[in-house]
Amino acid sequence: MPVKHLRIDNRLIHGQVTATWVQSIGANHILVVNDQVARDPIQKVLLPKAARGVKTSVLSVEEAVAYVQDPSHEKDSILMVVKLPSDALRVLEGGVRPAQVNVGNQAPTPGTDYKMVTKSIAVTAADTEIYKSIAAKGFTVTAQMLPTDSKLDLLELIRKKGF
Amino acid sequence: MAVWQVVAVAVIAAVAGMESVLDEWQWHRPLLACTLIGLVLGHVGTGMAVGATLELTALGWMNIGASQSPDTALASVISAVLAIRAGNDVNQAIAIAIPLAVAGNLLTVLVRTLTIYFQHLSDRMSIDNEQTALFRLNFAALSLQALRVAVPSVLFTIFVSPAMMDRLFSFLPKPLTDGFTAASGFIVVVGYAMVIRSLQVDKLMPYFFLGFLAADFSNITLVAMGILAVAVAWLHVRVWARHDAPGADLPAEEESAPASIRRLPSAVLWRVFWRSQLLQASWNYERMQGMGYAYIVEPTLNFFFPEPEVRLARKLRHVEFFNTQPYVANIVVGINLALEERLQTGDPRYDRLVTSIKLGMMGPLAGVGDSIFWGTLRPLLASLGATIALTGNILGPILFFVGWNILRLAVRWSLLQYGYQLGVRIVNVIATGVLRQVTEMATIVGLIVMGALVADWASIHFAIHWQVGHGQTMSLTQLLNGLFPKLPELLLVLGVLWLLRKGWSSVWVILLLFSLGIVGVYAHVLAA
Repeated sequence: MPVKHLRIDNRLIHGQVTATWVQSIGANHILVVNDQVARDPIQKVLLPKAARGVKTSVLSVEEAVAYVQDPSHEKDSILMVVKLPSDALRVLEGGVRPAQVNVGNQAPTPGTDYKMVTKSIAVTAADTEIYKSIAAKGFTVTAQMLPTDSKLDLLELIRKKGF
Repeated sequence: MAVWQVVAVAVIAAVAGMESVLDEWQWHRPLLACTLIGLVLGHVGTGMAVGATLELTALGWMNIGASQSPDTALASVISAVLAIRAGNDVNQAIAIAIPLAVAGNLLTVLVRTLTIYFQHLSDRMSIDNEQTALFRLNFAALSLQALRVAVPSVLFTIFVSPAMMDRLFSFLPKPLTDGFTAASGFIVVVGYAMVIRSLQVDKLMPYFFLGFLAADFSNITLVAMGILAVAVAWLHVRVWARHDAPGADLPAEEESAPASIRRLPSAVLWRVFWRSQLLQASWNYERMQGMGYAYIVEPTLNFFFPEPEVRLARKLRHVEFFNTQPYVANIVVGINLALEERLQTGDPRYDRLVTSIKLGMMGPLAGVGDSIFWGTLRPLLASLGATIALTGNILGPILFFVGWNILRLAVRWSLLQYGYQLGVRIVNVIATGVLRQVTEMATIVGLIVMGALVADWASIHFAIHWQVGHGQTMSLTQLLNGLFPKLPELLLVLGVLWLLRKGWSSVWVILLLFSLGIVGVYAHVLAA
């Protein structure tokens, strides 16, 4: 499976991704996956420009699953960035098996009942269920902003916050 | 120490504390903060020497996104006070500055978390207080950042006496202090390596070796090297590299403005420009620059929306999550102003476009802006300034300060204008690949100059020498100078780069190099 890393980050591609993760994973292709973003012409055009020359595609969940499973992409080294935990779950349900599932940044949505589990990750009760479903599929969900930060177990952190 | 001097230290510390979160005028950088402390304490030379050395160590310390680097503000102020009061020993002050920077970082994380409270208050602003709420909340947050550095600095200045410092330093055994001195010659490679890493080099790494070799085997000055680097980068992007086909076409074509809408007067645009320097005043882990952004666009909202309810709704809409490199943020602000102008007509499409532009542009612009400003231009100007400062010339810090701020204000103003004039059409311009070219040029300039800096400024002094014939000795340094001067320094940079890529944090690498210095001196391999 060519997906080296699945990152859940609602800022999608930004400095942390381009300056640190791409290299640390050795990615040669970034897939940005979210149905809404894939339909937004502005984001679809701008996001690939942020990747400093690394090939970047903005896809819907369905397109992303099809892309990854195409045998001709077997040799790619893919960094997949999804916007929301629900996107991650749908990608995994589609049969994508990334080597790592990691939450980078999840800014809170004002008006929802959220808790900050790390400095940069907000979680609601609904998110917790999704992360649990991801874990139930046999993946460890980590919380790690930069490759140089230590890897934390997100579900452990959520438990400590009392969800 | 006179009372006015303590007050002056407090003011400098407060300004440095605010700047370390704003990242605008750069008063928090060691080159400026230490020099100022030196100025008020009557030892400019010492302050400048501490500042320049610490600056070179901290070249690669930059805030990217929500990840914070060690805090230069606290480290600069206290280490400069210490060096001056304890008899002007620069190397000892530097050794103490590093743990201070780490402690300072913990404090800034704390304040950035506390600021979430102010962010939440902004959600509750009402018609009664919307005129002043954003101002009060942003400045409350900024004041906390000022106190964060001012309070520990003043306590330190008042309660730690020169006698105490003398006693502390006299406890340190000689190999240890000599080790610090030896290490201070090559500790700068950590800064260089961090910059190289953040430049994301890949195929461009040969430019680093080019810069190194050109400086190593010639007497070229750093300024000339910078010009050479720009020339080479230009050739690379415009001549050698294949052009990106400008392929993107956008449906979001802007219609010409209807005659009925009011244009923004330039006085309001100026107010937005001045306020844009406070984008990060209330930076917090929840919505980052959200409240700062709302404060920046506020004059526009006040102008376009006279009805209090509408105005309040527009303000509440803008305290949402936002984060990008603060200078290039102005291009988003500019576009946003143009869209608010259209919103007078009440067409909700423009509001959806605001979200789309903010979300779509903040990531890409951060990716490019961080690497250009924090990863390339600041290290270049700072290393140039620090290099001049090390010779005892006050022009070093002045050059850094003036050069950086002219550049910064020019970029801020022109991007704001550009964004506002072009509105959403600017997205088309960016889509033609111009961002990619600009970053690539900056990367190449950065690599070449970093190569030159390694050749010029990193130095490992070996103590190894041996007998050759009658009374003649040959030293390792002489041997190397005949074959390949600065080879050990080059290898050290590559080694540090490798460690950083392996996931070592810069502070651990610095501690490792200090220990190498101490062990090296103790084993008579290195000379102090």
